Amino acid sequence: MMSGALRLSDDGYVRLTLAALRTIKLTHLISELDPDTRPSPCRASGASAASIVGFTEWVSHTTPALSLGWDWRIATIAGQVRYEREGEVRSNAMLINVRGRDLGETASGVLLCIAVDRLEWKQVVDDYISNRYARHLSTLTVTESRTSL
Amino acid sequence: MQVISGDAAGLPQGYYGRVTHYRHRVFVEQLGWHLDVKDGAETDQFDRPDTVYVMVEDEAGNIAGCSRLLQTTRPYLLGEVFPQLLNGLPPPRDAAVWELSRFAAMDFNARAATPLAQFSNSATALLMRASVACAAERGAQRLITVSPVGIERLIRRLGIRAHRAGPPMVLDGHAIFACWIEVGGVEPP
Repeated sequence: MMSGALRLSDDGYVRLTLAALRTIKLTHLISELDPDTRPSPCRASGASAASIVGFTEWVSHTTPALSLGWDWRIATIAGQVRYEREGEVRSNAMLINVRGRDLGETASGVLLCIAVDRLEWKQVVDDYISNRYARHLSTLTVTESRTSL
Repeated sequence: MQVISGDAAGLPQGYYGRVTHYRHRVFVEQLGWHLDVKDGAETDQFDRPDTVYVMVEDEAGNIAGCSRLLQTTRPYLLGEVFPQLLNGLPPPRDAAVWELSRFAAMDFNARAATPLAQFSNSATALLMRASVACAAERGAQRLITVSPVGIERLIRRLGIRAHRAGPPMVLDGHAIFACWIEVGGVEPP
């Protein structure tokens, strides 16, 4: 990744093309359960995996650095527990076209969501969350098998 | 609920002490932040005569939320303590940019008050809009904030334009970051 492909602007955005974004490796920084739904030890046994939501933060090791964060939800489909991105991607990235013009917050946001959905993030987050909240999640009972959220 | 704002000298009598005690309860007792404490009050070097405080008070007269506004033309938290959160940009020094810090909305009288639900209680939206409006009245066009990353979701849910200034840093196991907030277009509460 050539550093010239990333431009840090005074407004705080890192501007880059979609093609440049696709060449950048993102690494996991931190994930947390959503504060409002975090299962406490006393009520975890009555919680369901479908009610577990959280967020995750990923970062590039470029200069300037890219930062992407999004919410996720654990869905149980046919007995299989899996993570799904929920809502928009929050980032300091502003995608530009080949002429250097901003695509805008909406278009950038859509493309960042697509980029995140192609990222292998689910297992990484699962491992991290499982370790971080092992004490809470060990008593969790998966009781639902919802196919939609 | 009602909003109360002003510098320390301009607040109603006793309110400066109440807000510093409220901050102690939230940030020190509940969130476990390692902050300067004296006589049950949380204050630091950025609590000065020119610092502006915004509070939300519930119908019973209890403080249900607070925030702090600082001009970036004078020393402020991000510029002095966390400049690394700006991803390599120098901290702003601009009369049109104010800093929002110590943002908390925790109703200790609610049945299920928890520090972790601070970004979802009913006072939060009011406090955020009031903080933005208060800064705008003083000439702010943008805010920069150092906060837990959860505040970004709240701001966006309120329809306020905001984006992060750089990657979060992990402090005491929690992610904090700097976030730009656009003042224009925000309806006052």
